[in-house]
This record gives sequence, C-alpha cells and structure tokens, in this order.
Amino acid sequence: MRPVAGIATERPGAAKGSRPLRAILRSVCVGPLVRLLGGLADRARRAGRYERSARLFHACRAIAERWLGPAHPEVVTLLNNLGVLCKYRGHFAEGWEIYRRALTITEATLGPRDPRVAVIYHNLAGLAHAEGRHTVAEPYARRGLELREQALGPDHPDVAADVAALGAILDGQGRHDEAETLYRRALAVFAKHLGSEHEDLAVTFNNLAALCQVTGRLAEAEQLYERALAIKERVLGARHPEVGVTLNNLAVLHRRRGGPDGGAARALYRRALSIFKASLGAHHPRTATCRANYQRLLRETNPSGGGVASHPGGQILSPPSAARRG
Amino acid sequence: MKKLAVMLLGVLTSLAWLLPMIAEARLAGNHNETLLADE
Repeated sequence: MRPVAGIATERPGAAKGSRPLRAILRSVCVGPLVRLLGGLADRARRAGRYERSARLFHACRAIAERWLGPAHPEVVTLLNNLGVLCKYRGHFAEGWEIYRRALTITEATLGPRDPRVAVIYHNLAGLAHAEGRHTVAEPYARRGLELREQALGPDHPDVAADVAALGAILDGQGRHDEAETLYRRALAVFAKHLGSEHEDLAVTFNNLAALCQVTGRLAEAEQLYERALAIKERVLGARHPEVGVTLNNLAVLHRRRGGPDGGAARALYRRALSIFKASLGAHHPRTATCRANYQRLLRETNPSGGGVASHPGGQILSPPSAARRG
Repeated sequence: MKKLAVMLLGVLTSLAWLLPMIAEARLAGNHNETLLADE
C-alpha cells in the first residue's frame, strides 16, 4: 500500500509560552529533521532492514516528542509508521499501544471521519491479522475501507489496498469465496493504476495463490506464486522478508505435490529460512512457522529423524496461530 | 574553485532523493500477507 500525505506539520499554539528562538528552531530545524529521520526509518522498514528502522524511529520519536510535544501531528505520523514496523517485527503488544495512542490523537485533532484515521484503522486490522485474530481485525478493516472509499471513491489504489487487506482477513476466517472476490477486485484496480510491477500486486498474488492452494487449485496457485515471487524479487530484492513468505508458501505447495526426496521444497524452505533468520531473527513467528514446515518435510523425507537434528535452526517452535494452515 | 563548485553540485544532486522526505511526512500502511503453515 502506498503511503498517504501526512498531516499538517504545524500545530497551532505549539510555540505558546516558548521563547521566539525556540519556536524558530522548532519550525526551521526540528520539523525537517524529524521528517528526514522518520522518512529514512520508513525507507529502511520497506527495505526489510527492521533493526536499523527501529533505531531510527526511536531516535526520531525522542526528538519529536521532546521538541514538538507528544500530540504533534509529526509525532502521530511517527507513531503510525512505528506501529507498522512493530507488526513486521512481531512486536504486537507495542503495536497496539502505539496505534491506540495515534488513533486517539488523530480522531481528536482531525475528526473521526478523516481519511488519515482510515489509515490507522487499516493498520490496526493488519496488526490483528498478523496475530491471527481475524474476527478482531474485521471491524477495523471495514471501518478503514468505508472511510477511505467515501473520501477517494472505489477505483483508487489505496481503497484497493483496503479491499485486499479485508480479503486476507476474511480468508483467514475461512470465507474463501468472499475473499477471492475481494482479491480479484483489488488486483484489477492495482493493475490499472500501478502497472504490473508493484509490491501491492505481488502481495495480493501471493494471497490469492494461497487461497487457490487451500481450495485445491494447485496449478493456478503455482502460477500466481511464481508471478508474486518474480515481482517481489525485482521490486524488493531477493533477500526481502516478503520474498521469504512466497518461498515458504511455494515450498508448502511442492511438499504437498510430493516428489522423490522433497528436493524442490527443501531448497525453497532453506532460502526462506535463511531470509527470515537474517531479517526477522530466529524467534519471529514467521521464522518459527517456516522452520516447523521445513522440519516436517525433513521428518517425512528422512523418517529416522536425522534431518531434524541436523537442521542448524535448532529449537523447534510451534507455528503461531497467525499462520494459515496450508 | 570551479572544481569545488562541481563537487558541491554533485553532492547536492546525489542527496536530492532526500528532499521529498523532508518536504512531507507520510503515513505508511501495512500488508496482510498470508504465510502458510504446512499441517
């Protein structure tokens, strides 16, 4: 999903009671510095460099809260973007706390129907989705979609991103037909407005592929995974965590189809695990899911158990509830 | 002097990609991506 324009950067009355020099410093130096650091932090997050992104966000947040005040629009933007990072790092409790604060401030300052409020609802839904709490996610996703559709109309790529996100939530509830309709609606808008090489398109191809796989359409699923993977590798780079997601899913598909020794699935799992461990760490829910999948394959192809013991990942972790059962 | 000016221009040009970030803060959105567990 593309970002939307941020909120106005000047808070009326921010300089109240301050000395003129401090007010000038705040508007001339601190605002641009905060935007620069926040922009770099978000750029690092999009590139999958989460640790670097977190360091930048925390430094930037400290400066912004110290100099601009805790309810300044720049701080709200930072909070929202830090919340996105929390989701991708698996720091869910911190994410909820941050989003609730951002939502409270934004609704109070901009009103409950502002499109920027819709972004926070979209992200709250995404956080619940990442935790596997799809029924919690659904009302947030619907609220975000409603607000943004009213503001932008149905044929806008940001609205399509909301539609695709809602599709993933319904898919997680097993409502495959509704989810597929939403995925295909979103894909049509993405293809029309974003072209054939965009992250949003790739993520939705991956999700539609997973849906096809779960509903038994393996050939279509494989084709869609290949398209998703090709776009992600070109747009995000071969070591991005989102590439790892599609590699994992494709490996599940190959494992299901079977083979003499699970060679194709094994190679895909190894690539995915290597990416997840490097970018997310050994204990991230996604790493744990991928590792459990790989260990299952090793147990099947080497029933004596040597495969599991020889795996360098070590500890076996249960897959989190957030992961879909393939 | 001319060489210095060219170098300065080069540095400034190479940093031009930072300008949109400074001009406008943006609210990011996340993706809900399906990761399959093989069970």
